[in-house]
Amino acid sequence: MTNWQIPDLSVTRRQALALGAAAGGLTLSARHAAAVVRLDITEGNFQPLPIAIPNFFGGADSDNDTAVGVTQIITANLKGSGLFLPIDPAAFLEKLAGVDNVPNFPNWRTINAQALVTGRITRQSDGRLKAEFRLWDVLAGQQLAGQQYFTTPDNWRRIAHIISDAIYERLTGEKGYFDTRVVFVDETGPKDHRIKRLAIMDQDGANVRYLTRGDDLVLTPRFSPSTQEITYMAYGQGDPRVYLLNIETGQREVVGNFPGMSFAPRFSPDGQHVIMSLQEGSNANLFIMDLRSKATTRLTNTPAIDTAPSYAPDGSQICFESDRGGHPQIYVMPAAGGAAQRISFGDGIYSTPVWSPRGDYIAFTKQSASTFAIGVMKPDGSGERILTEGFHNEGPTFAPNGRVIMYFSDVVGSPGPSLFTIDTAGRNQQRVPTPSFASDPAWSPLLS
Amino acid sequence: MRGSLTISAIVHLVALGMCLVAFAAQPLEAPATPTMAVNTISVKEFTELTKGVKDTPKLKVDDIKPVADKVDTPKPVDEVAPKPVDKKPEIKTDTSAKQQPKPDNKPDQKPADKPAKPKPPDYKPDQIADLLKQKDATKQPKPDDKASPDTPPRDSPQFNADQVAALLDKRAPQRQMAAAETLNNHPDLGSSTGVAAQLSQSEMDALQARISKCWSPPAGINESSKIYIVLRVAFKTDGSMSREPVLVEGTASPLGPALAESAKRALLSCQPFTMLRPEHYDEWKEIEMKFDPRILLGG
Repeated sequence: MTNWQIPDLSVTRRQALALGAAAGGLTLSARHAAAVVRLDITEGNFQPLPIAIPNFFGGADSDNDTAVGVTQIITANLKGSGLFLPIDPAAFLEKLAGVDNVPNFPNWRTINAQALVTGRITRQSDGRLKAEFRLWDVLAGQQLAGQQYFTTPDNWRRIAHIISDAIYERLTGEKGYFDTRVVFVDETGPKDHRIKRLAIMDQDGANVRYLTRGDDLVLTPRFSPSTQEITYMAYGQGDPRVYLLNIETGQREVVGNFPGMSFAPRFSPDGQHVIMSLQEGSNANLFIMDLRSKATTRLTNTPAIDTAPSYAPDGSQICFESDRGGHPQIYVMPAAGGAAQRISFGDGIYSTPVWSPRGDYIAFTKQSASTFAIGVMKPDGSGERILTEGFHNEGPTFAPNGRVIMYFSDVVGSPGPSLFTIDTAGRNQQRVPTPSFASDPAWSPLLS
Repeated sequence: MRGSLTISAIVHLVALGMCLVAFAAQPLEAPATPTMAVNTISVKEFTELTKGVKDTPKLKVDDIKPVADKVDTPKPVDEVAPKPVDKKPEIKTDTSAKQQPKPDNKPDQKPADKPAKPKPPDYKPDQIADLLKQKDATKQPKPDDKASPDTPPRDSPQFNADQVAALLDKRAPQRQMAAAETLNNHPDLGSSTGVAAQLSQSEMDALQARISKCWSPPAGINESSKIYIVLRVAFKTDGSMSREPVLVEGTASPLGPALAESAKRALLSCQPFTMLRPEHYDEWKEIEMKFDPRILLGG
């Protein structure tokens, strides 16, 4: 190797390569791992969690019906979320001794339960209902949560929803959405003479209550963050107007007194403002009205129809629909005014944008060819996904935890629309029971 | 021509020189993996290999040899040395036995082995003495013949090639590190770059795959929640956990408890992890596992 003057170049090269390889080999050192091996787990399966929910105990025999009812609501809520797999009670091996006893965990492991809920409903001497529950981690053999609540007996369904939320939050790490209500437009009567009434119900379809009599045509109801008020558009004889309705008192007032139509209202996240569209000739622009001072601020001024505004959860931005580019598309702009940026660029017409309470998505209705789809995209317009597509789907509204979207849907030939839920991954589509046809749902924030 | 050749040579040398410098400056991270000799055989050959032979002698426990022997203990040397000496006279008597009548052979053969069976004497009725004598004469060599196939397994300890090799092996100091109470099963433990005693990549991969399959991250995790946790997991030799996993590191987040519990559930529901080989126990008796759902969520 010392003689680099060898005329035969191929030999020299081979030798040099060998030398290079040898030198490279010398630098290789056996680097043994540190004392403790470290393993990265970056993959998993999102699978429904098997959970056992034996019937709650009744404090007295008369409480047993309520206890069973509460158990059924919890089971239905958790199952309906798609994230839990309640185990058939017929498979249970152990008959629990009581809510204060530690369960025999191997019995629950045998039936593959990973979580166990035990509870008791007792009527107090003062007439109130006491609800207790414990959530157990079956594999670890530990209690994860334990709470008790007091309420009036007629509130037993709500107690079940609150317990469902507690279980959901403890196991998934995010807030639940069971103790919520939905306001919607209830539709009855023949197609050419529909009576539309505002109605409110629990998120599972129970406790329906009507808020208007059906004299006026009502559209686009929206909850205030306080959950006590609803803003909506209605028109009877005159121009369509935006109204404010107190759910508890039934008191109704017009929001502002504007010359033309006012429509598509929505509350700001702080509940102090209502953002809406006001008609200006053949155009419509966005305005914000302060509910206390009644001062109105103009947000857009374009020769186009700007409508369906929705706040980002932090209140800093709004998304809205505008046809300023020719077809209706989704735009985002600062809530204090400024330049709007178009975020939807797919084929078709985008409308009814709604910002998720979690801030991660904007849901929309997309009309292309002869179908209406409900989809989500990130607030910068990327990652557009269609969740469901069909003859007519419209009006998405987010559950307070941002996981589930409710919308209304018509199928070909159906006499009227119904409400459905679907999660933001496009799974677990379910019909929400309503007394008659229903449209324009709006999900309330968590009540508690 | 010569000029260009020289230039080419110089350029090559410079390039190679730079390679040397680059290699030296940045040692390659790749761990030296033990090579495994692989022989490709056909299905027919495999069938023939595995069909077995009916008349082979059964292996004794002594014959199953470890990959490496204990060489620091004097045993093998002691065994090897005296035995050939003991047996040599026997071999001599065996040869002589063929020529001599059976009664003389019996005492010699018995201690040694079966071949001198009492059968021939049993077949000695007086009536057909002549015929039987003839038969005896023919039978007599037979036990000897039988003995010959039997002898090799019995003689094998005498001629254990490994033990002879151990005698001849002068590399004792180098190999002593492998000798201990338990025999060394790792072919390359003595080599400076050996990794056979370490947890192999395939075991790690299998463990990772198993836990991933069992792990259902909490549904509340989403792309925006940049969160992970690290659990320290202690194992027993059978691959089950010896105690509850301990949280050693994690992102501060309200989702943290749910994430840690989901990870613990995955470990509890999927143990024991039998893909972990007992001979590597020192390596995996404690493992730190980082549960990081960010990649899972595409973040």
